[in-house]
Amino acid sequence: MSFAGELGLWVGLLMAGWGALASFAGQHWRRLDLQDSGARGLYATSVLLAVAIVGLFGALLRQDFSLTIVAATTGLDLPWPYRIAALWSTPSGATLCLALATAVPVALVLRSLRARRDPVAVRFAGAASLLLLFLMLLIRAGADPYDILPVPPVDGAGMHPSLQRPGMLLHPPLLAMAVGLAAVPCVLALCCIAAGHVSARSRFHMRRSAAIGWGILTLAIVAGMWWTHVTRTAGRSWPLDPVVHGTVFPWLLLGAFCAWGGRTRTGRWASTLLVLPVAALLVAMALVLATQLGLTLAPFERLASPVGLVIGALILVGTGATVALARERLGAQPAEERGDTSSADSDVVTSSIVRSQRARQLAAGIAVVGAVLLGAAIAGHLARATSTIDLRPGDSAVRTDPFGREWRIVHEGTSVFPQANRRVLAVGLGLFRDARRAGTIAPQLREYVTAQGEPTHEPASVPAVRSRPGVDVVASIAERSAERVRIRIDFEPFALWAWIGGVLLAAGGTIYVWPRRGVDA
Amino acid sequence: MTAVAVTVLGILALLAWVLDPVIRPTRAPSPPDASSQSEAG
Repeated sequence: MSFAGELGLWVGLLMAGWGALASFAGQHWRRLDLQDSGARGLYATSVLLAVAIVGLFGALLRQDFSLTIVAATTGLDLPWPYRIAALWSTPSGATLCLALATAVPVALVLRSLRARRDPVAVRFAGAASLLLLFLMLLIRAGADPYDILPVPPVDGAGMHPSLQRPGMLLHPPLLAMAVGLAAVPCVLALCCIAAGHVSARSRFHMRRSAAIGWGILTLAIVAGMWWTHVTRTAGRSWPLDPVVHGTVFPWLLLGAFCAWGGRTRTGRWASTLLVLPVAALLVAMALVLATQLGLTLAPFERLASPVGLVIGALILVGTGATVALARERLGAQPAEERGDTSSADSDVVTSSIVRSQRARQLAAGIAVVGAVLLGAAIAGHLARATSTIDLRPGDSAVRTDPFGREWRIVHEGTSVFPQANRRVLAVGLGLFRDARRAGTIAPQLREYVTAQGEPTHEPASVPAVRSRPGVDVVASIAERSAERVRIRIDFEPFALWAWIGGVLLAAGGTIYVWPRRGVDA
Repeated sequence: MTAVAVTVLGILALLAWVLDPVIRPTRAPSPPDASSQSEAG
């Protein structure tokens, strides 16, 4: 299985190179055989990337510790969902997932463009193959995901405690899918600029991929914020999570393209707005590159470093060049043909416009409600109340939440128990409001151990969250001595609304900007 | 061993499929032959 995966990765690299070479050569010399072969090269790259990923999944699930990635990120007792998540816990594995997430939508769009004999299809095959080649070279340049250890260990080193949280199962794969989908409008925009013409079919695919990509990116950002909220990593603020990780920038650029770029089909802005998906992907790729290079600082700090300055300058130059090229090649777009619709279908189209207009109004309403809920949650976060309490078993303390309500927190006892791959110390805290019990929460201190009982990492504090529409109560163990335990208590009003609002914003926004075949494109 | 053989064969088949248009170029249909037309007539 590992052999198949490694071979898949190498041959996939060759196929991506062939796809780019054959497509561009076929375009230049107008040779249909090369154009066909180039497109098949791109399809083959997608299949081989899938084989490479399946090979790694197989090794991770079988716990083949002869592979460095398996030995470094998993252990015998690691629960199986995290064994799968171990794939994207390393930079090379994450880039491999991103390459597959890019290859699949790109191959599907290429198939549709070729079926319609769209002239931009050949350039699209070449440019998309180049992008895949870049990603696969990035994997090759970093730590080899199929690197083999000379002597396989009996047990792995285990996954870092901060990654053994449900957020790890959601946030990175959603992010890879979103960036992969964002590659479609970017590559298509560049190809249309090079061709000097934007066909209705290309515009439709640009808008549809951007819409799905934006929706999934919204979900990824919300999942990232939720992950930060429930782990309380270094006291980081959850609304700032997308800014710290830089995901908010491609989200804004892609959102702007969905909202204006796809709709504006004529005039000077039509060509200029094509820069938005290009800039979105450039920023996303810069973040991928920074992660691959091991720069895990916030984007603003990254920008201050020499590598960050070079990457920032490249983004600016790339964006500026795209705007200049788009203006020169495309100029003011004339009114163009309307997709696949003939005049005979006009009645059907009119009724479908009325229906879809209603659906779009409803979707816009849902998105606005989602945005308002998210805004309320962020406002609640700004008004949060944080305090620490020192408790011994049986002790209690009173704290006031931002609404002025008093909460009594009672230390109801400590329990120590083994669980999967860890030893857990849990402190039971009774929550009382107005002398009535409002619930029990148990923040934990987890010591991760190997199957032989040896600790793998420093003990990790895992907060407990009591989530209600009014206020979230988050308790985490800050310090622990033999006699007492120091608990950090956060009261966060409306935090629950952020996750509901985020999902509503993603769903409503995607439906609102969804292109209608024969109407918008 | 079987898995390795299946993998190698699968990848070779994929390579052959990718290179097939170049190895066996699709030609435009040639104009109908005059002699065969007269035979048919």
